[in-house]
Amino acid sequence: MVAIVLMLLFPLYLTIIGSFKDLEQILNDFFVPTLPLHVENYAKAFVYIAPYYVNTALYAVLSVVLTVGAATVAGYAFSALRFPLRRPLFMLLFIKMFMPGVMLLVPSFVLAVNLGLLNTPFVIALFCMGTSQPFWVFVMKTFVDGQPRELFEAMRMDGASELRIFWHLALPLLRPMVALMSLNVILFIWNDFIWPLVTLTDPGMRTITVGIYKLSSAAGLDYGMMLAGYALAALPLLIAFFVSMRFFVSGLTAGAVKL
Amino acid sequence: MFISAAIISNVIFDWVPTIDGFVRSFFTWTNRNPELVFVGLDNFRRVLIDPEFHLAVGNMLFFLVAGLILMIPSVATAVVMFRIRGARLQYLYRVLIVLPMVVPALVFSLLWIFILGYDFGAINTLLDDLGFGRVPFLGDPELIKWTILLTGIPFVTANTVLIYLGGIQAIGDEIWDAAKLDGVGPIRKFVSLEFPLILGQFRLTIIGVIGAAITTYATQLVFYNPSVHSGIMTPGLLMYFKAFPNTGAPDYGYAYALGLILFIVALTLSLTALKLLKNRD
Repeated sequence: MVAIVLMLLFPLYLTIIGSFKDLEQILNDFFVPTLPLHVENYAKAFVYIAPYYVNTALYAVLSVVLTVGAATVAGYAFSALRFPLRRPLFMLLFIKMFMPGVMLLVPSFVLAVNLGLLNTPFVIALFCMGTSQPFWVFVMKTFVDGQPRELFEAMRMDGASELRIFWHLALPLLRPMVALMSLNVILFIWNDFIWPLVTLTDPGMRTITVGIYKLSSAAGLDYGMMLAGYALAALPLLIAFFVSMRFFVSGLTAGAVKL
Repeated sequence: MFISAAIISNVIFDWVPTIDGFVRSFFTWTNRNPELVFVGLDNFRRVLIDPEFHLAVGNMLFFLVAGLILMIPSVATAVVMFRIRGARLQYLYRVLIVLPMVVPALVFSLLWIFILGYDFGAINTLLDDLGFGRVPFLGDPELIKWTILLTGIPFVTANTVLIYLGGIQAIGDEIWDAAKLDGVGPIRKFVSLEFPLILGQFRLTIIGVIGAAITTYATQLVFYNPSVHSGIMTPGLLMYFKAFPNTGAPDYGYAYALGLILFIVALTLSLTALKLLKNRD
């Protein structure tokens, strides 16, 4: 077990120690930490990475707002409200959950071109929103199904509007689910690679993954700076992980049920 | 009103490309000449007789078989984790296993590419120093498949481990105590208790592994270079390169048809998974 964990973390270890080395240290002593530490690698890498941080954070926030917002209200409505075409509309989403996404890449790209979305934040956020709805609406609906119905009914009897019921009663109850969704959407946007690679061709619009993919050619022989760039790509989420470890460990497993 | 954002976004950005993927598989067009020309099944014929496609299927089967065999370490890890006494220690392992999940997979691939490089890669330097000579991990079409597998060490997927672990933990302590009293050995315990408990999850993971082998190609794309072309090309990657070629014009008809073929294969699997789920209930 110890061996497995060590092997899992070994690449991370190499990235981190390597990011503090200069070229000579990397070529001569790659596998062990060396002194002096070359902190300037991080300064150089940060200049390169910083715009991608900003871009990715922007895309992630936009994606979370749209994806989680839409899925939360829809999941609530499908569970708690009665309206015409409720079942067929739910089926429309439900069927999509079992359709593999592999064929979507090229037609989605063509659609994005036709809508003029290439090289805009919306090409990331809107497609994330649209394709994530089936799974998250389903999860949210199941979660709302498990909440006590009498609460909603009581408020409705008092003549509260549906919007009020949702905002004041349902939303606070759904908070853990909203947090879990947000975490998974952020991780998805942060790690996604092929879609941003083909839709964000303008270097000024790149995400962090596309940025470090191109970094190896941009860095030339400055391997220390390159490894610092890799480390920086992982850093924000690693920090978040350590800050709220319990939340991550349970949240990521819950998302894993998505098969 | 509540559901409109979800439905509209799903229809436009999910259903429309799906339907478009079906319809335009039977047409051909180019960027320069966007007029759609109906070609019937010709795109599919071009895919199916293409030697490149046959090669890609062969490579895919390699990754598929490897993926199935490499399910074992995750099962073993889950069992070992379950047998660890002490909740704190078990939780610590859980944390450490999940940790790499927040690091983009791309970071690991790029790091491996750096370490395995022929001239400056640390592993080749090490091999050279030890007198073994350098190995073209990234430049040999026969070797590249094994290199990609190698970078998966230790072949443990956090998700899967935790799903299995959940399965084993689903039954009460009494059973384990009884097994202990009866003097059930560790192997017997695995065969007759632990493995049956995760059989449902194991079946689903098999479908997941097969589905992933058919539809994912990001790792292959990152490791791709022209000298390993024949050893690394998979159907998914072929679709990608037809739509986004490094040089020349995209062949959308081919990419659409291949996408649809992969879709149908993967969908069949997905439906099988659904059926398995139902059987379990």
